This record gives sequence, C-alpha cells and structure tokens, in this order.
Amino acid sequence: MTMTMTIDPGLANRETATFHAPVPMPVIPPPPSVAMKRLTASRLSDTDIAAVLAAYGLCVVGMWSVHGGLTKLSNGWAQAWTSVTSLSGLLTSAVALLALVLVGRPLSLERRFGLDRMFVWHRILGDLMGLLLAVHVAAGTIAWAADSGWINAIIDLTGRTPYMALAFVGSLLFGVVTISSLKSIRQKFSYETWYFVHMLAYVGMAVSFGHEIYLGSDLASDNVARWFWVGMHIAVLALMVFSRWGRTLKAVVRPLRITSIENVGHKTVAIEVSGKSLHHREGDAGQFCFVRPLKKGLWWQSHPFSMSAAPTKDRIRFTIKDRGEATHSITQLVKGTRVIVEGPFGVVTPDVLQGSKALFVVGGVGVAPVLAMVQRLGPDHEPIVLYRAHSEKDLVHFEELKAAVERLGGKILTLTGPTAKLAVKDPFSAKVLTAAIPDVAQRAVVLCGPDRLLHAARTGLKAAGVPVARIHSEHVWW
Amino acid sequence: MNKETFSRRVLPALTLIGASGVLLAALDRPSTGIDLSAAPPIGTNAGTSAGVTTTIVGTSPTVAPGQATTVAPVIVDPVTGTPAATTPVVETTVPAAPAACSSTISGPTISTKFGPVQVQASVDGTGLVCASQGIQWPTADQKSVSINNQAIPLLDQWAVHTGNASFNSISGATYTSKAYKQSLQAIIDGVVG
Repeated sequence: MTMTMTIDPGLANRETATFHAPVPMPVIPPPPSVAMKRLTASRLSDTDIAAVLAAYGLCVVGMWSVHGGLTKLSNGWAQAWTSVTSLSGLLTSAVALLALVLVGRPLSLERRFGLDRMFVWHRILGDLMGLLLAVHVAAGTIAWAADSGWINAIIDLTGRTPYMALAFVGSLLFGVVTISSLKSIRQKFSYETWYFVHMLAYVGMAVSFGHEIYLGSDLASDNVARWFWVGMHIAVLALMVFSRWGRTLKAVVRPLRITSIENVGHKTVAIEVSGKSLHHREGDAGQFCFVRPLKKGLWWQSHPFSMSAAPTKDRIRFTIKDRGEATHSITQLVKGTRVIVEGPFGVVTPDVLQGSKALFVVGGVGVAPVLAMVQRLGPDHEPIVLYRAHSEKDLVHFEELKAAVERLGGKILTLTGPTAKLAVKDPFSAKVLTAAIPDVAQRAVVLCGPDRLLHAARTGLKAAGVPVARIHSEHVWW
Repeated sequence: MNKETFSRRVLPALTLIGASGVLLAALDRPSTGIDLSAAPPIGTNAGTSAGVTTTIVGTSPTVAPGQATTVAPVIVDPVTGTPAATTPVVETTVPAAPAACSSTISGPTISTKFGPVQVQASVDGTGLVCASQGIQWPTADQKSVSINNQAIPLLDQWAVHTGNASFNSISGATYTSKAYKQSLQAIIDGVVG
C-alpha cells in the first residue's frame, strides 16, 4: 500500500513532499467500549463570573473609598501617598487571591475555560500583581518618609514596626517569584527549579498577611472590612486545600499502574495506565493529564501529557516522545510502575466541533489528542487530518489514525521533511490550504502541535476564511 | 541520565527560604517609638484618685434596681468649653448600689492633628472609671495605625488602673493620649456633674 497524497502536488517539492507509506506501526487494539464518564458541563455563566468579579472589585475599591481613600488623594502629597499605598496594597492582595483561584483548578472554571487559559490568565495576573506590589512598596515608603524621613522610614518599614519585617521578606519573595516567572528568565531554569521557587508565593502570602491586618488603615479599624478580608483569604485557602492539593493527594493515594508500554515510532512510546480510580473520573478525548511516575528520581516531577486514546473507565493511554531529560526517563519506564495521574483537564474535546465537518492540523506527537478525538467522532464530521512531521518515521500512530479517519469517510494528508526544503515557503498558507481542502472555510479546526506550527496554521486558516471562533487549540502556557 | 536530581532542583527554593528566615531574624525588631516602659500612671483605682472630685453630686435616680432608663448627660467639650455637639444618649440600667458602674457612655470625639479620638467608658457614681475603651483613633495613615494599635490598649488599661483621666501620656503617642484623656474626662464630668 502506498500513500501518495500531498497537500498540493503543484506547489510542494516532489522530492520531499510526496508521501510514501510510513513504516508500519503496531496497531494498538481499540479501547474497550466502556467510555469514561463524560464531562459535566460547568454551570457558571459569563454573567455569574462577571457579577462575582464586579462585586469583588467593588468591595475592595469600595472599602478603600469608604475610608476616605478618594478624599485623601487630593489632600496633599503625604495623604495622597498614604491613600495610594492602601489602594495598591489591597489590590495586590486581591489580584494575588484571584491568581490563586485560577491555579486552584476549580472544576467549574476548568470545564468552562480550560486549565491552559487559566494558567495564561494566572501569569497575566501575576505580572499585574508584581507591578501593584512595586507601587505599594514605593508609595508606602514615600508616605512614611514624609513624616519620619527616609532613613527612619526604611528602618521602620523593614522591621521596627510590628509585622513589617515579615511583610518586607514577603515582598522580596514575591519579587523573586514574579521575576523568575518572566519568560526570558524562566526558560533558563528547569521546570522544577522554577516550580519550587514559585511555591514560595504561598510563603510570601502567609508572611504578608499580618501587616495587612495590623497596619492596613482600611482593615485595622473597620470590623466589616477586616472580616471580609479574612473571609476571602480563608475561602481561597479552602479552595487550595480541597481543590488543588486535595485532588493531588487523592491521586497520590490511589495511583494508577502502567499496564503496557510500547514503542510506536521514532523515540516515541505509547503508555497505557489503568487503575480503579479511573472509574470515578470524568474525561473526554482530546484532554490531557498530569503524570508523575512513582519512581526514584522521577516522583518529584509532574508533566502534562495528552491522552492518545479516548479514555475509558479502566484505561488511559498517553503517547510520549523522548524530547529531553524528563520525557526520556518516562519513555524508559517499565510495565507495573505506579504513576500518579491527575486529570483529565482541557476543553479541546470533540464538543468544540459542534457538529461541523472537522479539520485537524497536527504536528509530530501532537497527533495524540487528535487520535483520541477521532475515535469519538461520527461520520458527519468527515475528518481531514493534516499531519506535519519532521520525517516519515515521526508519523506516529499513522495506521491507527488512518483506520479511524477512513472509517468516517475522511482522509489524512501528510507533509514531512524540513520546512526549508519544501517548494512552498509556507505549507500552511491560505492558498495551499484551500487547494488541498476546498471546503476548509466551512470546517471547525483543531490545532495540535508545536507553537510555530500553531501560529503558522492559525494565520493561514484565518486567511482562508475560517472564523477565529472555529479554530481551537490548547493555549501555550509553558 | 538523571544527573539533575531532586535535591539540586529544590535547593534554590530552600536557599531562599533559609535566607528569608535569616533576614527576618535580623530585621524583626518591632517598636513603634512608643515608650512602653514609661512611668506607670499616677494613682490607682483605690477609691480616692488624684485629680478627680470624688464628691457625689446630685441624687441617685429613684429608679428601681434593674429598671432601664435613659440618661442624657450634657457633656461639655473640654477643649472649647461649649457643650459637645454629640450629646451622648445612653441606655442605662441603674444598678442597686449607687456606687456601681454605669453602662457604657460614649465620650465626645476629640480631633487631633492626626485624626479623631473617641472613648467609651463606664463610670461609677463617684466618677471612678470602671471600664474604658478607645473606639476611634487616627487611622489615616499606616504609621498612625501602627502607633495606635499599641497605644490604645495601653490607655484603656491605664484608665481603669487609675480610675480617672489623669494618667501620664504615652511618649510617642502624645496626641492620642491627650485626646483620649479629654474624651474620658468628659464622660466622667458628665456622670459626676
């Protein structure tokens, strides 16, 4: 059997972009029919979320204003700085709490927005919090110095005033956390090094709390405001304990076990895990899980992997490519190893297609979630898969994908070889896409692959007339 | 392959925690500039206190014990000498013994350079302070909050300890102390007449 499909025979370089049958891959038997419980949709509406956010913002800014924050702004420099200190302090904490809520992974938000987007928002709020904190520290020092002079202000604010040594250390920790999360700096460290440093944000929040209550001019003298403040912190703490860390603990207590690990292509393995705890989970094709192997040297790292088969009540499959130290160790695991699996998470499931015909644009091992999704589709979707890979041996799960796609009356178009060698500069230009898929503009598109591919495909698809609302992909959050 | 170990990756975070601890130990020397070792207040709550008229003025109200009534003493602002703008209206349960404590009376609000100070106190028939509590103090800026967080509880204690409003001011919280004493004195004057 030979595959001779190209994205566009007229445009692509025949040497590299004409396709031959890839090396036959072992076909993994289809999963048993008992699919995992489907996701319960989030009952939160946009109105709910907007209302809660507006009320929250109003309470925070309101308490500042009620205590004369606005009036003080125009009462001379010293008072204005005091007022700015109060407001920026309140907002710093308010934003930090929101950022914590997002990584607390509440399912009601996750099912609606997806963990990927929540992490992106967390990062934006984190940056905002860093800025607010800088304003708070600067304004606080200026306001205090207006009364006591600079030297005394600095001594007072770093330890001579009760709780201020703690707050000072807290702000330093937040500074480290914020700066280490800037993209250019974060990428210099391994994920775990960054992550453990990031956890210091918890310490920062804890040690800063005392000065908020003791010195915060809005909180120290107003019982209602103080209890609102304490209540918000307790609520977020409860979320972190029960939702975020509670679920991790649950996954730790009931780990899954690797039931098979198989080579499915160039440096790529398919790992199947199973365990009783899957019975109670909700999940769908296209989602991902955090995987933490319980093995010496690996237990402290947790990585997200897409499920490469529709999840069932007794089995989840991941397809993992050896792309570095961490993924290398995982491809070396053996059958029987216990793994902690958290999830599934993610909102790019067959539901996003909303019944339209489907187009999947896949890069390399990004095929995993697409393979899972295709297993859940009906013939109405007539799926077309554009499969871009470095070389033919990187076309993993090809036979399995082909079988699933053809069963639905769809097709796979592959494109391999280095981009530089292709006849067309951009294989995802609107021209190439439209030539290969005449009805592209009518399709719902799911993108899955490396950032560069996502970007190129998104640009090309938009130009080809696909509305942005119908282009779906996991947001890049790391 | 695993040359990057757990301990190496967790080390930066632990180092930062350690450094924070050291920094904290070095810096945390709380003192608001209030002289907490100031000379103890004058006199004690021993019945006859210095600086306060102990003569009972007027008659005990002829109200049965346990019955509630409303007393509205006219309080003269000690600063201006005019009657205070806010005449405190007080729910009073008149006790059996005439020397027993009144229920809580709010004193006038005294303005200072840093903000208003107001005291709530209960006083017995002889003008002796049974309980006193600052209910308003300057909170306009963080420094005031910091100072008064320490000063007010101390003033509360001292008022009860001396039983009157003639204790020493707290150095470092002079404005608050003076205003506190004014507000308290107004309550005493209001009850004693």
